[in-house]
Amino acid sequence: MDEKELLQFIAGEGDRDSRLKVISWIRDSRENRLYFNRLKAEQVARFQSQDKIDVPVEWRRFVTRTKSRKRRYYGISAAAMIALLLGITGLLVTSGPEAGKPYTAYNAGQTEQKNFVLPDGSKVTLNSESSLEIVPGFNDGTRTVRLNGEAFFDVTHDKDRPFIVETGKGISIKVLGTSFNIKAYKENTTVKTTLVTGKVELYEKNSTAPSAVLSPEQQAVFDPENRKISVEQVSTSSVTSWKEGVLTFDNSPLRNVAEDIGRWYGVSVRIASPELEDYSFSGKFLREYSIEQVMNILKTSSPIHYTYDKEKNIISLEQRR
Amino acid sequence: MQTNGIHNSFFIHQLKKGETAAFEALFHLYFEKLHHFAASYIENSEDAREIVQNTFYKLWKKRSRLASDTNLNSYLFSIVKNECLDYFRHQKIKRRYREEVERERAAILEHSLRDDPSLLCIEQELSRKVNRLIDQLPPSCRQIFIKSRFEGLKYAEIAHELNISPKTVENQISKALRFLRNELGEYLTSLL
Repeated sequence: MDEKELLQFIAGEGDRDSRLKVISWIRDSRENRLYFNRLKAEQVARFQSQDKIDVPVEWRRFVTRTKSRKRRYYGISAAAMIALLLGITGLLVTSGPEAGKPYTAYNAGQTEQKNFVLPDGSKVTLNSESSLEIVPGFNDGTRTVRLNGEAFFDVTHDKDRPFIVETGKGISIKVLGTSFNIKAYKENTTVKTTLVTGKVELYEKNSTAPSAVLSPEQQAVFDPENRKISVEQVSTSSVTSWKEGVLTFDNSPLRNVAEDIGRWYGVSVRIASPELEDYSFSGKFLREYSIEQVMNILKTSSPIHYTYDKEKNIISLEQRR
Repeated sequence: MQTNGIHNSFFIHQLKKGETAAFEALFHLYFEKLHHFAASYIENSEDAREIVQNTFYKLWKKRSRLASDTNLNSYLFSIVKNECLDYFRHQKIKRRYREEVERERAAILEHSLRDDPSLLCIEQELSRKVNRLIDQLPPSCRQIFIKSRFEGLKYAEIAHELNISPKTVENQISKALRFLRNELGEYLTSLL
């Protein structure tokens, strides 16, 4: 193998054919592989980088990271005290960025709600069982993330680099700087985008023209199966109240209520009576309520009877006769 | 002047005490080069930045438990390497490399990163370049910088030892830091 061709491969140059040729040569024998490894290491050891790193900026980011942790820690204690005083323990569940790997994904597990700051300064609150993945190249040209679940975004304004949320359900949401809520759980049949401030555009897969443009206090409901978008006026505070530790339902189908409660409390809530499928519920639950309290509220305000199997962690809802 | 700088146990001592200045110097000396190392294998500049940030964060959290004979060069190098290997593992699960050529390329680079004997030349070159960087500090402030940042002397002690005013010491130190911050890039290309 020509060393020039290997060096081209290391530099990420050369066409597809040349790359395939190098790959199969490397795969050919242990000697070839070791030869390549050494050549690669020698190239790296020259420390000739095209990338300019702004070290003072990195240092400030680092300092912010070490300090914000401390501050956030105290912040949580203070919040916990206020929460105890006010009885809103919901504040307790917010926490700082994962110590893990910001370049891959941010996660909030069952029963959790978490706050994160993205590399561009945008703030994200993830609801239970949700994840947000940063697409590589975030900040060059566009700021693209992938959402699975529900999140509230407060996006830093940057007119040159649109912020794009991909949902994996055939629709993406493009903004320049604004705050909005997206609910796109796997099990949801729709993707709901609710705009609080600013302007957002919704793009269907493979489409270059927006399918809908939202103004504040509007919610777009996208139905991936029929590729239909409907836009309606909503009260944004009830849509985003989850991040303040309040689950608000406004004439919501019981199926959705059961899903949301299940994610918040880490239980499986099943609807045992088919008649209940058509039932709608309106009401609020605070984060500090126990699951029993939530169920008792549901029971007293609706024709519902529940059984709670603590061992299997399953709640069954039946119609009360 | 002897500048086995960052292997100096005084420097570790400074880190252990939680001296931010020592940490800052280390950060400025190493960030760009570690980034180059990570980015060369994972081939993603943005993610490499996060890897190096994480690396320093790990060191920061562990600083009080560092053994006084820790070789910081090897230590930082191996954290970056392991973070990169984690990254490859993660990317595989995520199926980020959708195209065959891309996938093969990533597999080859991951394999190269596991070939420790070949990596040794990078690690040694890293150490050599960082020490040369310290040597390239303007001579007037180099001595003071090393005394302060790597030997852990107080400004007043240095001033006394060199028979100069504490104000001069302070000026020379900020000159050294400024050098590391601003002129580092130019010096890198022109001198190293």
